[in-house]
Amino acid sequence: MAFKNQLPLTPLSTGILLALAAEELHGYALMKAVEEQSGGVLTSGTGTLYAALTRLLEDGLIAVCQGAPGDQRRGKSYTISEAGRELLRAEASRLDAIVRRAREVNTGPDSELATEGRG
Amino acid sequence: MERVERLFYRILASILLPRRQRRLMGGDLMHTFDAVLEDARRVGSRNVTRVYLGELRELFRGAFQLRFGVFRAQRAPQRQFDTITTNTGSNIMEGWLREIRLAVRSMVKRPGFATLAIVTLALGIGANTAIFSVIQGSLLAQLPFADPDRLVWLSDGHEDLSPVGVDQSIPNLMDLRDGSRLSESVAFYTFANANLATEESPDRVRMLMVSSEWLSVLGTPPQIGRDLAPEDDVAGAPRVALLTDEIWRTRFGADPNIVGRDLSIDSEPVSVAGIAPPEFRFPGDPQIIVPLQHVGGDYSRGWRNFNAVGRLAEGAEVDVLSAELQSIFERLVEEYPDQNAGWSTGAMPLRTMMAGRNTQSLFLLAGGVGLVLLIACVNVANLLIVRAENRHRELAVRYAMGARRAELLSHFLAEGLVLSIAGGVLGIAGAYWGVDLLVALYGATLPRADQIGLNGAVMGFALVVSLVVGLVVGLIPLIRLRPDQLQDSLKEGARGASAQGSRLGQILVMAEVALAVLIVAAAGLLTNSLWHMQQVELGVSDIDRVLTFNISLPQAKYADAASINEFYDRLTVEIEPVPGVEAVGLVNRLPLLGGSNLTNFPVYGDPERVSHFVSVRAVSPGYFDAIGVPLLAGRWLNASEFADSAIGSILINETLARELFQGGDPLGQLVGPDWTQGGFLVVGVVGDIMGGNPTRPAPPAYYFPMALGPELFRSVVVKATGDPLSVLPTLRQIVRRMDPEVPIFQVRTLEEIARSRMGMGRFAQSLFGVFAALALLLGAVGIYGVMSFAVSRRAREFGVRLALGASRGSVLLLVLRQGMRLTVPGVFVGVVAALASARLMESILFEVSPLDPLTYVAVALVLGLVSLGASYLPAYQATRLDPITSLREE
Repeated sequence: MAFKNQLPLTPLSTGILLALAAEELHGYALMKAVEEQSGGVLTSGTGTLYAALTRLLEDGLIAVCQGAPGDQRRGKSYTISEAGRELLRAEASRLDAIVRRAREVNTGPDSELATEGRG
Repeated sequence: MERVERLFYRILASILLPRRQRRLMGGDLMHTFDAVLEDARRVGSRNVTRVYLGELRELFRGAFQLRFGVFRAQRAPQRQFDTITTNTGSNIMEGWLREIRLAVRSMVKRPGFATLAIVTLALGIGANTAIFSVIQGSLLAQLPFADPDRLVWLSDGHEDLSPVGVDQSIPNLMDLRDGSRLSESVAFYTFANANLATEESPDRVRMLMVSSEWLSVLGTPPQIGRDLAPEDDVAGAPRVALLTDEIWRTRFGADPNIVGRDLSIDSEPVSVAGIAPPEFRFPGDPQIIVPLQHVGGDYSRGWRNFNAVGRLAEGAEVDVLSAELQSIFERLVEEYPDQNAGWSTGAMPLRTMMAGRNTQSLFLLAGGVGLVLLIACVNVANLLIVRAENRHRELAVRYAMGARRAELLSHFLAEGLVLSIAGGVLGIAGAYWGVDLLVALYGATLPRADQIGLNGAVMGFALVVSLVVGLVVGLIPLIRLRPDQLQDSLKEGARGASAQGSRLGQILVMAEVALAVLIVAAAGLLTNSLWHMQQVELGVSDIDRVLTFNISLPQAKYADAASINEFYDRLTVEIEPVPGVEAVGLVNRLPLLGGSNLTNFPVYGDPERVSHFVSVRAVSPGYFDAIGVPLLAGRWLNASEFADSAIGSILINETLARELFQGGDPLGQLVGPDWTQGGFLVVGVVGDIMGGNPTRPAPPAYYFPMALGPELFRSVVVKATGDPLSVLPTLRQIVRRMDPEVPIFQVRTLEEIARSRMGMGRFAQSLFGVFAALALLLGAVGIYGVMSFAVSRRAREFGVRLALGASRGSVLLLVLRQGMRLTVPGVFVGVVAALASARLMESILFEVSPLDPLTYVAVALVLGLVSLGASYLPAYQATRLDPITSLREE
């Protein structure tokens, strides 16, 4: 487990990796995808989204698409890297363990935990 | 507005986000930002504002995250699960928000303090914003032409008159244009007036006569129709004209079908070739543009009535072009010494020419208004210091409880920013009215007045000024807030650091006094100068009763001298008996305006005794009565001299008599250049009349009977027995009855002409007066604040003194003397600084030395009195202290 010290991921980073794991996306579509897959809980603005993207790029977890599809107006597209997929898998199993533990102590309905409740 | 908001976001992003972000992703952020806003716009415009503000907040948050780190788990693992938004960045943000909320709350709790501080800053920021918007519109804004930095203005200079800015002749200009390799293109122009007749009424329009390259040199092709072509520019070609956007909209209802139609200009048909674009503007506000038709036309080399606009070749510099033109011109001097000896030529940036001679006054105003803002800052900083002083214990406790210095810093910064932003908003609102007022009052004397307003650049300026002011005002009190002292003060009680606190306050007040001296001195010098200008005898009398207007006859109908003379003779005869009219006269050029002069005017046959730039005035018999100019020697021209052109008798003014005859008797002498063929006979000497430049003495002038040189254009001067405007309707009727195609235009009283002649001087003087009043007021408030604080600090001491038998008078003197100890060094420093910078004002002062000792003494006295007044109230309070109470207080 080479990622041990990179876990846990922030929710926004997790959301971004998750969205990019499904498909390549440009900035605005990515923002919408992150929001949608969290059921509207995880919203971000342009500034925070790009801060997270910068960090993920620096860590080699995502990449800017070479010869990106789509028109010029929408800007660059981003894609998840192999390292990113692996880290996402590690984060998912970590969360999975938490969810399992939560069920054992019976904290409440699963749905709340699945979206990482607001604490 | 939306573009401004987008630009603001973009600038903020480039400032806030670390460079590595841009390196990795370029400007991709803006694509997403645009998409977010576009999405928000679909919902509604109010939503856009909400989303925009949210985006700004997120930008700050993202920047903090990137700079201080959250996404890497190893940096702050323990915080990961706090909340979705928990991270260092938002902690800082929330800390700030808390400080700002706190600051607002503490302001609301003490509304008096907050109001004083905010109004003070609003005055400073508002005044600066207003002046900046004037400067931005008049001087800084790009000229509305294509690639405007390459545009230059060509003019001649004369060794006796002015090194630049004099008109040029067409043959010289053609030689310069053809010889220059550093200019890409050159177009010539001159101004004229014309009668434009339409069905409704005849109108006088300002006409720009140009060579055909005009619009292409400026890079403003016609919006409709065609540009002028070289064949339009040939003498005798069918006449065409371009309309400017302004007259096209106001006179022709923006009708595109006007192109190709004929207009009647000076009673001749002229076909409309095209419409100039709205961005085409030029000093003098031309309304129609017609070709000069100079190719093959009759233009002599000595007829200097033209200038030129040129476009620099790619990469060329104005100075180098100037040198090139001068070297070409030196060959022209050798070739045509009669017309060119003593002359020179050169180029300057078109922007400089359009700014006019007011650049210096405007920058001086900017300096003055900047000083006012400085004083306002010092004042508010002082207020905050006093407040911090009173809260010293609270701050010390906060510090002892573990508040970090950074938190105290953000506390003061938040206070400063809350005050300055509130002041900025109020100031911008004030500037909004202020700018309108300035343009309404002085628009005529400001270059490019139509471009002045609160635009994006001005708002950006106000925002930056507000932020800087907030930083300065917030940080000054912190100078004396050192952790070790805070701890000491907790031990000692509140008085520990007060001595030092008041010392900083004292230094600030001295600075304030010094700044006020600078402004008041400038205002004093300008007032003095304006007073001198107004004291100058204009040479005309009862100017409030003299009405003037212009008339121009259409050439096609008044083709010969007889018909022109007949019209004007009849006009005089018709006006004279009108009730309320005392005298009526005609002249080719109104008094107090300058213009229309001869370069050389010698004693006849003696070119050595010569006068330069002599005003040439053609007058009717009633002219001198109407404007009230006295006869000093000899006699008036008589009726036969007015009627018979062969006699050639003239009147000269005092200055011309002195310059030509140096005290000798001018009467009966012959004067004039060779072309007069025998010279003019001087029969009388009349009083001087001032010319157009308020800082120059009266020009030499001679007056000849109007009938000798009949011209279509005449100015009419009517002296009324009472209100001159009351006779105007009758005068209009008379002209309309005589010829409905003849327009009356530029109706003004002589008083209005005299006033507008002061131009920028008046503008600068009245604004500096306002600044000086502000500076004195703020200075007084500052002195009062510091003195009453000092009195309250020393209440115990005064109590003891009074208890020990000191007289109230001695306590009063003690406090007043302390006030003077602040004022005198401040005044001294201020006067030294004012004297050192006085040279800046030299060129705009009239008959006043920038080192005028009287002004400086007066300024020092005024400040002394103001500060005495400001410290009297606290001093009086000190004498009223009850010894018992003040002793018991501790």
